[in-house]
Amino acid sequence: MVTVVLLAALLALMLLLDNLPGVPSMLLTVLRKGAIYALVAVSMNLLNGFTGLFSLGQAGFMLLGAYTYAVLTIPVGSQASIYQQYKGGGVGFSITESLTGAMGGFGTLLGVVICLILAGIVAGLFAYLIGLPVLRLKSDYLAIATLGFAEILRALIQYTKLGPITNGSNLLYGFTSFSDFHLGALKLSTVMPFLFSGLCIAVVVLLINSTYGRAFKAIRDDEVAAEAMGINLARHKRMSFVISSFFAGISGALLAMYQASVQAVTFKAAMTYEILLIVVIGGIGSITGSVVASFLFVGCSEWWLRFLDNETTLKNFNAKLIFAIVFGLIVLGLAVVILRRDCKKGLPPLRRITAPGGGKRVRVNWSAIASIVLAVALLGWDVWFVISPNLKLPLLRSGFRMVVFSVVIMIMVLFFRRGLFGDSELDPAALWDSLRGRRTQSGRSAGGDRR
Amino acid sequence: MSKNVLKVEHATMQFGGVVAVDNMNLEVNEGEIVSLIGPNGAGKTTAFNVITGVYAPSNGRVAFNGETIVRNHPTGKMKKLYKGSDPELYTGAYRAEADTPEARAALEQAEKERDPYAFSDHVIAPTPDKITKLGMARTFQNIRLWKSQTVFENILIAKHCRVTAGLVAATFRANRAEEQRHREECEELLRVMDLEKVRNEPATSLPYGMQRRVEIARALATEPSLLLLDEPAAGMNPQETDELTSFIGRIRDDFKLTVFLIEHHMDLVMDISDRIYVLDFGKLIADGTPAEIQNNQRVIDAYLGVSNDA
Repeated sequence: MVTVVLLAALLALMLLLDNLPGVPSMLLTVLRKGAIYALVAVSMNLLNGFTGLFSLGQAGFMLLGAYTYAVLTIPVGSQASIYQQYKGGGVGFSITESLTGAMGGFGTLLGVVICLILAGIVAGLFAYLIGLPVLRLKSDYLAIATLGFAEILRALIQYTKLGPITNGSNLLYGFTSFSDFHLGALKLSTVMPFLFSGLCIAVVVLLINSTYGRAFKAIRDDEVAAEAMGINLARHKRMSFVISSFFAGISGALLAMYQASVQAVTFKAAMTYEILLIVVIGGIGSITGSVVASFLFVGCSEWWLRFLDNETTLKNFNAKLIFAIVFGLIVLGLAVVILRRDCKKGLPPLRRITAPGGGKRVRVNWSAIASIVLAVALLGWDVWFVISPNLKLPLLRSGFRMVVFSVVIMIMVLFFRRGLFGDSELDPAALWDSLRGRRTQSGRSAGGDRR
Repeated sequence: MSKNVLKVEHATMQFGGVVAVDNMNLEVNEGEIVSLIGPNGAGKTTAFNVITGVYAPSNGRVAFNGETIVRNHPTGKMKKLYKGSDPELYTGAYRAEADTPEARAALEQAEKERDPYAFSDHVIAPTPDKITKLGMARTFQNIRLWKSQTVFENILIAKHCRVTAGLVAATFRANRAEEQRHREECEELLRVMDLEKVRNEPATSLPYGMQRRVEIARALATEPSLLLLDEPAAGMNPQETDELTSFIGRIRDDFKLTVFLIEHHMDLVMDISDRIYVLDFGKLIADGTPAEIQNNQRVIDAYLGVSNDA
């Protein structure tokens, strides 16, 4: 109940953000794209986290969904100019346009919903076919096969013979997008992705908590035991794969709506990598983890860490000095922490010891030496940075953001393998209860004090 | 005479050149507790895996409640490698041999009655889940509980094979009545198995003996008529073993089960078994009541040894 109220409040908040003046457009971008990525991440988590099938085909299924949606909804009038290289294309109809003509605004919504579902069905159909051979594979082999399949799809869509439908490697645009949704004067372009994505995620959550979801978890935990207890492995794996792809297809279509254009070349393996990053950060096997992590990731990648990709020149010497001091303090602090740990067991960097023969020799604590050398080098660079005339910040350039993300995923996998939430869920109802429980408990203890 | 529940005929399991189970014939009747014993590596667990569908046997037939559930003959590479007996018994090449045509017809008739698919190449090799659905459930020698799930969830998931609702119905909770019934049955199982106190504990955090009980409860949740227990007393102390002995007898009566088990604890085996089969190097070397087995010289030589007290 609390959950439903919270979700309704969230939608209302989105409606407000959409229509209030002065809301940063970046915030809206992050919210829209985050909602869409949340759905892909959840669909990937259904497969990787709940069924234990490591698949990397998500970008391919998104591509199918995006193209299905775009092809079915481009208005007939603009098809000639969009498909100009293929003589106006071979589609000749637009579901949303026809329905809008017949029913007005409601028709548009209905058309979009139908096309979203069709996008999911096409992706699911391909998943079913590819699943027949591929789902016999285990773990990494499955990942390799699905990754290859996604790449094949991307090439296939760009095939010129399919041009009259897919427009080859050219852009598809002009179809119904989120900015086309409004209630009177109220803009709905952030509410709609939240609504669609939220509904789909709700279905996944329902599925995971149903008897079939429990069977998926059993397969993840122990295939042999699951099969011995009467769970048909082939059927349930296929089910999970097709459902995951279905929702990946829908999210691909939503992404197309958000971008207002589609091009096959953007659905690279790097996109699957981004989604994998979200799933790992959020916690493999946690729906809420995936949702929270997708907003965090999109926020960092589109907004907060954008500065990493821009070459930055500091404006004056004072700014440079402050940067250098902060940098130097961080290096010194880290060096002290590491050295203290290295030298804890009574091992100074260099120590004279008595060798078994009786002579003296020097014993070297290599990791401490390495830390000292590294720290001195970094501090030296810091000093050089202050005295050099160059005011440009180092490292910041196009592509550095992705390096930071890759470092983050390495650190996550090395030290925080469970991610933000592990495999548990953030339950607003339980959170609410525990907050209230704490309050009553503290009340009780206060009463005890009084006595 | 009581009904025949499990019948294994000419079962041979050969891995490459190694014959793990060689021409095994055994049967288990309704309501019985039958044990399969033998030294380590004799092929006991392989026999279980053949019966439950984990492996398709190289040759032979398994019938459950009179119905053929597994049937195979050496094919492909195995045809050349096969070292067991009767390679043609379950193929179309098999002929009944007799002196007169009448006698031959009679033999063929008898063969047809024993095996409805006789004189054909028909292969039946279902996956384990199909056999479980027919009413045969098993436990594992090395406990295989679902580790991220609680005791209750472990038992509830086993009910999944009895779910009739489809994916969509289950997702949108149209199967509420069925789900409720399954949950109640699982609660009842917890109560009978005395696991209520640990209902919400992660299954693998429990002590060993209790995990065994959870595994048996999970097997019972699939509503079997035949329960296969693979070394249920492994790793248990004498007191736990004693409890298990009475427990197996009790669930046999409560759930109207037939029990077929592999075990090394001879006290337990001799206590509860109606009949015992002894396997050595893949071959059955003896079968009979506990008293007969204890006095069988071949069994004593191969497995039991001479008691220190004697």
